[in-house]
Amino acid sequence: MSSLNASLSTALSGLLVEQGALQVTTNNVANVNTPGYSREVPVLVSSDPVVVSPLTFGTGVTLQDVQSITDPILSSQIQQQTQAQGQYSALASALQQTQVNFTTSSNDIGTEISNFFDSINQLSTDPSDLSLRQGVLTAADNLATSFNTAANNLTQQQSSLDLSAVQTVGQINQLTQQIAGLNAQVSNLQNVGENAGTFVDQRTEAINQLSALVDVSVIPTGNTLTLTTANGAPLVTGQESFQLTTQTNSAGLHDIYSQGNDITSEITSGQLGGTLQARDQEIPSIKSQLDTLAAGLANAVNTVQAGGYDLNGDAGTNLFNPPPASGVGAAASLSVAITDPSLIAASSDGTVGSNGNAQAMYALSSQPLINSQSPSNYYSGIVFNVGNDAANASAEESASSLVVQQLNDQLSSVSGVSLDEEAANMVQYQDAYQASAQVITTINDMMYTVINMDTLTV
Amino acid sequence: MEANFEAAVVFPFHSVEALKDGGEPMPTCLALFGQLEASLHGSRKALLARNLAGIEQRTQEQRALAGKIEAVLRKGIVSSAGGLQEELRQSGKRVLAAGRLQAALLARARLKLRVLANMLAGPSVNYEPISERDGAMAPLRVFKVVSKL
Repeated sequence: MSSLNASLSTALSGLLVEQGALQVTTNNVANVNTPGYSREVPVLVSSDPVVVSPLTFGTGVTLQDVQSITDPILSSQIQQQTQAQGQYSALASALQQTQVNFTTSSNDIGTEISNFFDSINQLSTDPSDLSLRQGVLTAADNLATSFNTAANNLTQQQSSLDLSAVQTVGQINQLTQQIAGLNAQVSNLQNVGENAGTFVDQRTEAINQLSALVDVSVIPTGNTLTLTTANGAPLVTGQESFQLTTQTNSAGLHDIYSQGNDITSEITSGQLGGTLQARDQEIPSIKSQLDTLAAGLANAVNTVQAGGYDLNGDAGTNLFNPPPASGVGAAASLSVAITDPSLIAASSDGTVGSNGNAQAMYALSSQPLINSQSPSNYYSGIVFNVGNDAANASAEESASSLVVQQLNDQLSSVSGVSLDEEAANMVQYQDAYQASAQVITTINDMMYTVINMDTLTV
Repeated sequence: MEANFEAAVVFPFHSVEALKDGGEPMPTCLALFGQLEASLHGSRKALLARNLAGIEQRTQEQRALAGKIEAVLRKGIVSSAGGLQEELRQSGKRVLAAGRLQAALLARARLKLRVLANMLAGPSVNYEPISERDGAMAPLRVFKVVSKL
């Protein structure tokens, strides 16, 4: 038969466990607004019974564990979409800055192309007029300047993006170090059977932050996590973090290295992926198209110049300094070769009044000079592509943001703290605590009765 | 909140139904663009809420509106009032932005469906890369998968 002391011990276990459960509820309520916090629930199990033959008596209750309620699949989806959001956010931001170079203004490339051909058209009305000739030189100079400005702005933007990439690498290294530290804390606690929920939440939050910066694959390894980039470059293994490094390449931009391997082209997602995409693909592509346009236009004008005669009756010389044969850097280096307006070869036969060559030069404005398109149409194509890419990146960013929001809502319905539920739990634990206390009072009374039995009898 | 937003994007002072064949093409077009934009926002909400019936309904709506817009454009829009023209341009830009966003969301939903389809297919089916499965999913099966979401 069970003793009063055993009953007292059983009631005491109830008191302690309800107190512990109340502590879990208190912690949940305190963290109701903590980002990334997963609600915790106490896991209660009945203590091992004792057998006093022929009967078996329970010995109370034990708080076996405090479990965090999470959904790993939802967490993984959030990380994936956060990567996409980071990528498109960086890309959209970069392309919106690029777009500024192509906004219609009084001195954008498109306007200057029109102004240049208009000035030639005017010259053809009176080829001997020096002021009209000067007008052509001024328009040519403005055109060259607009190309130079746009190309230089793009180069500057590339440098800014390069700096941003280096800073992002620094942030990634800080986070991977933090995650490795959290891996150690989680592992240490779980190895001794303790609840590591708080550290797991902190680690999940840090991984989400890391996902916004770079593409991350999360691989559970025992009590810890292994993190790699999507292409397998290690970031964190257990309690060890692997730093990414940067190294300047021949173009003066920084490449990203992991364990001595260049992984720049393998980073495709997260803020770093978006920044690298803008730096290494989008902007170089636009610069290349500008170079094609500048080189095509300059070469075509120079060819027509060479076929005509200037005001002195001499064969025409280059109006623009010849662009590099490869075309690379043509937009940045485009410049006018002559300063004397009489050297413009407007005449087709060497006579002063001839405007045949000026008309031929004007005709270039509608000829398919560059990739079977007129200069203005080719430029319009560049503007359209930049705008289209920026709008697409912006739409992708918004879509990722909406999906992340949707997934977060789903996750918070699983892991979030419900104050109503916690209030109900609190009442439940309080009642149980009071009941256990009442049992102890009753046992105390019984003890008193037993101790004073002899006195009472007398 | 949503009702207010939809009311704001629908062209406020022209009703398409009120405009008969003899109506001004530009205001008609503007009104249709407003309705199309509102419909695209509705589609977005339906897609995020996994409301298949809503997606279907809005898609039908958009198809009908696209037909009406095409008919109006076929008649030709006379460029008249500058303000109205600018309003039409802005409305067109908003429709385009809403369309791009919807396309991006659909691409994400499609990817999720492919993952679910792979999961539902079970281990007996050979795994194929996602790109290979493009268009390989039967419509009925897609419907079944969507209804499970």
